Amino acid sequence: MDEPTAALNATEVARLFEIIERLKQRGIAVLYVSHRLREIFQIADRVTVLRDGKKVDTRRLAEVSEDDVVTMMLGHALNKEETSYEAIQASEKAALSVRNISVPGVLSDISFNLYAGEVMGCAGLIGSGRYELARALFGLERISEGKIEINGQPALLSSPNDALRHSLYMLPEERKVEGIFPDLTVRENLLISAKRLFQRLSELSIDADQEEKEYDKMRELLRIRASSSAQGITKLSGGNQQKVMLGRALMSNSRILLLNEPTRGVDVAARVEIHAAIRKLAQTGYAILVSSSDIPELVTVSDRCLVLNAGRTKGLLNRVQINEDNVTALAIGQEITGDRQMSNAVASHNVRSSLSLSNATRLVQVAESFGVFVLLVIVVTTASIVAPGFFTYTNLTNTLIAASITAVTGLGMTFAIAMGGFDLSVGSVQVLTAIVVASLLSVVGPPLAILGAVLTGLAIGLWNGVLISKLRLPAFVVTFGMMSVIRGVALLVTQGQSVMITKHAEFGLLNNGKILWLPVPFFIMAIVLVILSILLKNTAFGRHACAIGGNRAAAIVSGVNIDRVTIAVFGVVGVTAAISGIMLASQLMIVDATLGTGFELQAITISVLGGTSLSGGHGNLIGTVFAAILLATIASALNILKVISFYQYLAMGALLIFALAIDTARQAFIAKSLLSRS
Amino acid sequence: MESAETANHSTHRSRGMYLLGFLTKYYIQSLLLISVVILAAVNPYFRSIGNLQNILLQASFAGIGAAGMTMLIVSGAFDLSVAGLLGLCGVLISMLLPLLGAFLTFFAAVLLGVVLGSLNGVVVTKLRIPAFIATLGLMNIYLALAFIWTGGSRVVPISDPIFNSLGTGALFGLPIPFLAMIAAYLGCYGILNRSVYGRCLRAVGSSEVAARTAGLPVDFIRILAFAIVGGCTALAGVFLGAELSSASAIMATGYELTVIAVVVIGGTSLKGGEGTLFGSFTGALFFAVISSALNILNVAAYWQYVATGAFLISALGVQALRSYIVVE
Repeated sequence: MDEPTAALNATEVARLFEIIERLKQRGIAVLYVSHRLREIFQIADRVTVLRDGKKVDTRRLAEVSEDDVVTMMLGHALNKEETSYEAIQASEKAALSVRNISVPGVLSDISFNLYAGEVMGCAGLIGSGRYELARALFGLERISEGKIEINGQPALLSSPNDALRHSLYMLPEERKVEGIFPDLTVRENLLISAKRLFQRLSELSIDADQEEKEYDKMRELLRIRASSSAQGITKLSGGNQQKVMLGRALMSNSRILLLNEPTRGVDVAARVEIHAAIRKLAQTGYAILVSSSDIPELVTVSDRCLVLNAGRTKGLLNRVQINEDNVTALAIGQEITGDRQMSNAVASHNVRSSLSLSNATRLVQVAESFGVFVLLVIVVTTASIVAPGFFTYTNLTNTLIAASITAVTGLGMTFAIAMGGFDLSVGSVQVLTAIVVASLLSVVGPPLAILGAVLTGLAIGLWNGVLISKLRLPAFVVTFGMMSVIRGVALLVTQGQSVMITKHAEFGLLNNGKILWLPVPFFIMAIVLVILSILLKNTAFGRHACAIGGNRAAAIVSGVNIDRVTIAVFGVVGVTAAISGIMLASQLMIVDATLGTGFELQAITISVLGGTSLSGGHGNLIGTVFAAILLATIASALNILKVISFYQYLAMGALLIFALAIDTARQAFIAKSLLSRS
Repeated sequence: MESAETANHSTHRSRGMYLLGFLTKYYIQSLLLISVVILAAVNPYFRSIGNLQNILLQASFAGIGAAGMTMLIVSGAFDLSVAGLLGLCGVLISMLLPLLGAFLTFFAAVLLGVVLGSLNGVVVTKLRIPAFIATLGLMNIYLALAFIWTGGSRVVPISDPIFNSLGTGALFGLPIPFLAMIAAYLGCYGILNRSVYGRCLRAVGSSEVAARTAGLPVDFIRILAFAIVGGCTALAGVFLGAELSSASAIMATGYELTVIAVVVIGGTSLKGGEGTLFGSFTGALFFAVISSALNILNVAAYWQYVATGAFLISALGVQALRSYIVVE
């Protein structure tokens, strides 16, 4: 177990420990990795200490004390004096004054004053809104009510840029994700917030000498250990990276600092240095809010401590009241001085807001499933009114054939998108396989020719998959390159000439044959739809593909064979493109290498329009078919109306952008309602 | 004795590592040098002044676009619409030239490029659509507009002696487009490595979340990068139109692939955050040399499609290998 308690509250930790105890009695070995020493002493029998990637020692816990373990971690004994607290004379005037602010679904009615020269702690469990409070003050969350004053002046903070202008800066919680720029040097990381873009023309170019001086100043102040200012930030230890981050906050010319988890993932020695630096900064007049899940840290650095519970202020402790027991009690919702009504009010408020939002989410889901269908009905109705002759048997059949050919490729593409991939080479594959089947028909019978084309598509698809998975290359660039390669091969095979199908006229039945008045291509498409639906919904393969698209990292951890699934999915895409190519050959009976430009765009458009999200994780195959019919209807109506074909390009591009914008809005909406519900 | 031997061995090894490191770092430059030397040795036509000038000229069309594209890729985005954008600029030049004259037309074309580039940026950042797919859609729109404007794939003339000299003229034996390419690269180099904006660009490409958290105006930075690509592409369109003395919607089909291949083969990572303009510059020359060689050897033009795609994919493979060597 790796840091299993990171996201748990005290009761949950107790239950986890019970479970571990039970597992132990059943003879199961548990490796428990944690930076919380107290937990180690509570649960473990033996402890192994690692330092700088090397094993220091393994000892029985009965034989060692907490101080011994710390000494092993540091390599030397911790100097206790460094952590001692020293009171600071805080200023009388509030640097930051927060009045009754709320963030929908996360925080309600928070008020406090932060004075220059003071360190205020902020405690709270996961879900208490602790990090959201800092983010809201820095303009990263939308504040619905309340107001903020900075140095007595009302301030509207709706973006980090605004906050910076008001001399307020926030250090993010997850240094690796939100903090460092891995490709930039130490100096660049340090100074990224120091100059505001295009504020002063004189600051457009970089003055290397001056920056070096600024770096030196910070290095001394914060004791940053780096070989040079031009060293890559990722080469530094976690503690030194964190010092650079702290330096960035100082270099932002801000006097109000919101520090989140200032010592997360930092070794014990650096932790002491960072705490000392925070105290020193407060002495020089900074107003500092330290938000942390590490309660001993809050006890060490804060003058006062704000405790949040379920989005509300649970208490504001002064220096005398701050100790681990009081902070913990308030954080888990117990009272020091009783007031139960307030937390009840919070609970009912939260339930109400989540109810109304979940209704809206359901509405979105309904729209997602039937949106294209509604659009289709509208377009077909319009087409039959404005385009006379649309509702003839011949035209409807032709429209359905065109839709079926597009849909087959689109279905494969939907599969790829569900897995979080793309294939831009499908248009070229369609053309190449159409040429292969047409050329083979002059030598062999239709069954062998079709087999040859399908195998060609399969081979290309598998090759794409191998490149993407084995070389770890982004799917769209690989398939973009392959698009060009395959088109080149198609041109080479035909030498730029057309290939006409003269033998085996029965091959044309694939296009103009009818079963129960419906054209054969429709049935081919239906069969592909059924097979892919079964593959996607009812097999482990389909579920694994969706798992990769939904959360790649989680899929890897749960043992999904990413490479194999990726290769197989691209194989499927290749086969569908080949089937569609064969249908195309049978429709045209004369093919050349310049066909099919823009087919890949059509395939992506109908997938997204049909309700398959680009973010991956699920595929709406039926939606893809409806969207294909929609597209074919529009094309047919425009043809009847004699609109020149270039407008169809225009319509296609616009439709794609439109579908994608809708998709983005939908994703944002779902994410928001999920957030509010939790 | 023994220690001397190990020392000797280790210098051998470190020299080998140094060579490997050098070749890894300057692989595209080495590749260009080797191919030029070999081609010049075996083929007298290749080493003729006329052919070398032509190579520089051909390199500058993709090269100028690749300068802007390098900046955009560093910021972690792409623009696949450049072929459509270039076609539209070409058609605009043809329409405006008789009315405005060479000078104003030049600026109008570059302005159109910047405006359309910014539009790409706005669509990508404000509608939050993945860049490659949004710009693919926008390419269709630009192509369609150019088609509609010219009433089909009809070729429209660009004939103005001053304007045409932009494409055909030379200064000190160097084609004017090539000089413009050098200027474009110098300008982009200054922006990327010596300005606050360039640092922000690399920061956004390195980690978008961290950039937002550090208070950088991420959307604005990206839109500006798209605008730079638009401007560079339009500039390439000016020289291409001037050289061909004609324009059409499809005058630059496949341009996006060539430009991205040039950037990638030059060693810029598609992940964003870092990029080498020197690499892109060399990459453009390398592509022109290969293309000239294929022409001289009378290889069918269709092979160019295969070669460009294959180069892109193998350059990605080489990048994976290089980062592996660097880690080792």
